Amino acid sequence: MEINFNEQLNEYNEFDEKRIKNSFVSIQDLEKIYPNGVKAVYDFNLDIKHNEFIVIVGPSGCGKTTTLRMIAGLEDISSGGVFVDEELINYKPSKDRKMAMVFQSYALYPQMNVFDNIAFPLKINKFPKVKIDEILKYNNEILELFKNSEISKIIQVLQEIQNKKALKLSQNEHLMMRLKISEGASNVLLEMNIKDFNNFNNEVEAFKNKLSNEILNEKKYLENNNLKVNEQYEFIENGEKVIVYDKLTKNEIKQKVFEAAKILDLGPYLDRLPKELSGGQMQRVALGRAIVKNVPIFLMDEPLSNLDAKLRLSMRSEIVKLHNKIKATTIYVTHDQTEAMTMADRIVVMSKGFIQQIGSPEEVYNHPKNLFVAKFIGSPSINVIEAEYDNGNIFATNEINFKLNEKFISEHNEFYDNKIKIFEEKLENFNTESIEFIRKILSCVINETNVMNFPTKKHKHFKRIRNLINRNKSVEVGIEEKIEANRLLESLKDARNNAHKVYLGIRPENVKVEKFNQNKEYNNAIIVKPTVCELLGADYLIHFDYEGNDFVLKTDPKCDIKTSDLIVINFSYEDMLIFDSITGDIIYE
Amino acid sequence: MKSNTKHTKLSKSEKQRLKEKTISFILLLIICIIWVFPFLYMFGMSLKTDVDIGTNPTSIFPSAGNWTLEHYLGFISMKGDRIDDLPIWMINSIVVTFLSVLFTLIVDTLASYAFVFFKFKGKNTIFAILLLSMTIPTAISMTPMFTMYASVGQAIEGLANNRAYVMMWLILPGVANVFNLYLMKNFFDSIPKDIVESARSDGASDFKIFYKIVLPLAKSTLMLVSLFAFVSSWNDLLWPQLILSGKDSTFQTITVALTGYASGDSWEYKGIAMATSVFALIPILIVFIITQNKMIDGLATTGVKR
Repeated sequence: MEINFNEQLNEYNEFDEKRIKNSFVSIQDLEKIYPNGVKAVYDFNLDIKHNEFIVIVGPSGCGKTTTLRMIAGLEDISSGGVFVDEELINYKPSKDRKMAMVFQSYALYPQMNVFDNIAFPLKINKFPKVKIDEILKYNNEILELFKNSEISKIIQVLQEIQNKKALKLSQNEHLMMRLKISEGASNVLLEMNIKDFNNFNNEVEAFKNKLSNEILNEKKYLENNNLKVNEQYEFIENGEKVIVYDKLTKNEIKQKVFEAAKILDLGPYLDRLPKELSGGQMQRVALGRAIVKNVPIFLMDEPLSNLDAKLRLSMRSEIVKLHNKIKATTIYVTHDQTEAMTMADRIVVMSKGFIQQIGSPEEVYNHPKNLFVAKFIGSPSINVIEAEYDNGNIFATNEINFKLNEKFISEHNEFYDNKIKIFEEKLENFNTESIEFIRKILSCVINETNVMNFPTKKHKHFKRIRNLINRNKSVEVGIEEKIEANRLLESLKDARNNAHKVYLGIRPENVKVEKFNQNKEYNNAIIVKPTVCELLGADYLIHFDYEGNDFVLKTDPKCDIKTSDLIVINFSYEDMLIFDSITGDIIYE
Repeated sequence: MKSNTKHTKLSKSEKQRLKEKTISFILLLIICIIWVFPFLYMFGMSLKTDVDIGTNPTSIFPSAGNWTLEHYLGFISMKGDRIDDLPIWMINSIVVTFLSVLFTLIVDTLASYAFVFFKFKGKNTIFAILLLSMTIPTAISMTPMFTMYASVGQAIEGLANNRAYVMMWLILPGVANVFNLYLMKNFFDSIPKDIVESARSDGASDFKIFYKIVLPLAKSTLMLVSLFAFVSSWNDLLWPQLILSGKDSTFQTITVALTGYASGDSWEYKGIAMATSVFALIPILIVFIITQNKMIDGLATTGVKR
């Protein structure tokens, strides 16, 4: 059977219209295959609503950054589609995607100061503006000015700007501030260029005449060319305002930068170079650069991982605050599960290129879909112990064994029936999809079984030569997985009716502990000595060895337990999560 | 007292280090003297009178009463039979070198940018070929280059003696220097990709990224490359000599002109030759003094910088 990726690419021509319509950002079947054949991201599907804060979390090398870079347009998309506002943006250049990216290394421009760094996107881009008739607008503004305000004040201001060196701001800005006029009007006023202030009144009259003449000419010109202007001197065409793309003026840039600097408390640092800033400040500058772009989507690539622990905490809340303030849809990539848990509206857990679970922090923590998610989310990590399931009985050790109720037994049987059905279907029609299905399962249990290695980057240099020698490489890959699938199916069938291995998972806070009391009698409890005790302020972690497994439990610091004490451990069976050892999936919810 | 004695007595490793330091210092001093001696001799000779050069060739500096600046006078006074062309040679050299440096910078920065920040097929292969071309001796590539130069010059009437045409051939072959390109590319490689990607997502075009982000960062490497290009172009002899042989003496660069003094029948001009040589060194000294701090910076940053 020949399997190639082109075939697969052709399959993905159809996207789900419903999902595109119901979400702001819709990512469908996104995949990344590097030129050397390594697949980094498999079948990434995610729909994001407006203002949502999505965190993609996973161990390093799981494809989360690649996914983000594909969305940002920094990496080519191998297959699948990214939709923003019902528009496919796969082939749009990065700058047109209405997204701002914040990099792990901040990516500040080292030779520019903070102001220029933040202003950079404003300086080089053109922005949409309503087209206005500048002559009409500004000339009228100046005429109004002469009519309404005292001539003496205007003379004073005009004299002030004569001395260029004494001015703190530019001439324009000075006029704008003192006379409260717009930037365009100040430019018109500067054209006046008065030399003789004694003869000011005459000059003003001449200037007024000149401006009125210009207005008349402009009106004639508009009439001749059949152009229409409303009361705000905005051009109207077919009943709608005309939009033009133009560069921002210096003052507009200044305003926007100051605004962003105010949000981020960067005011005092605007004229510093990036190397003179601390990590937190640099990160804020990077955020500022994203803010001024005024885009609906923020992409953040591990923005906090270069900061020290304390700063990370404060920046974390700062980013959440910022998100609440400017309401940009955010996709945030991190390897730190704490960040994911605290910041996210929804978490996407990834491993080895596959999405393992998507859900709210509570869902992911309390109802992990499989062993990988359970282990990855939560700090300290979940305790896992091997056990045997035999017809409704769970037996791990002499102390940990219990009988399950009827409901669970039926759920257990249903689980295996389902799995067997799926496997049989996949094996019957064994294609790329099935291969990926197997790979996904293996990616989750690979640490336990370690049966096979996917082609990794190591082979890069030899790959071409190897492919030349062994042209049927792709078939070989398929066969490996097929054998694996058959093996898994056999074990599933075996597990359905016979005793089999399961994994029990229990969160550290659900392990109950008390100090050993000689006078008390303990039934069926574990009595051990702690190996390490860690005080984390509000929490107290006790590590202990049990049947060769390193266990950790979380308790109140007031319990007064030391490493020299004996402790009594009690597990409550209701809190235990039971995972299938073959696929790694959770058996009951 | 105890501490004092301890201080004077050196431990074994300290002794060893002192020994090593002394030896290396002496060695470096000797090398330095050998290196500097010809320059010193050249400078001393240029200050001797013609008679003193003949009678007293072994001393570095002129004997008493024989100090003179007459050899330098010719540069200013434009009289005498041979040295009146010297200002022209200097100008020739300066123009050729300046343009050569300019073109080198333009070509190298643009090419490096393409090599580092563009994705295209065969990128590594092309660069490998360029690096390989460094191993070909200039003398070998000179023959085909000269053939091209001569045949084009002959094909069009008057082109062979056209100043611009000859200048072009003096400048362009030196511009395609792979070593400088390699230096430049190395530095561009060290620029974090994030910066460029961030600029790109900010909406900057490649040209804007090039002159607003990358070039300002590369200042010190630009200095280094211009120094190398300057020195190699200023000191170049073989190629200009080949091109300019049989041409009018006003076409000559300073290095080519200097060889005129080295032939057997020009004994009487030794003083002037030395003075000219001193003069020819001045631009290099100036450029070196300007760029030396930046150059060390550049050398340090071409390798490792995040």
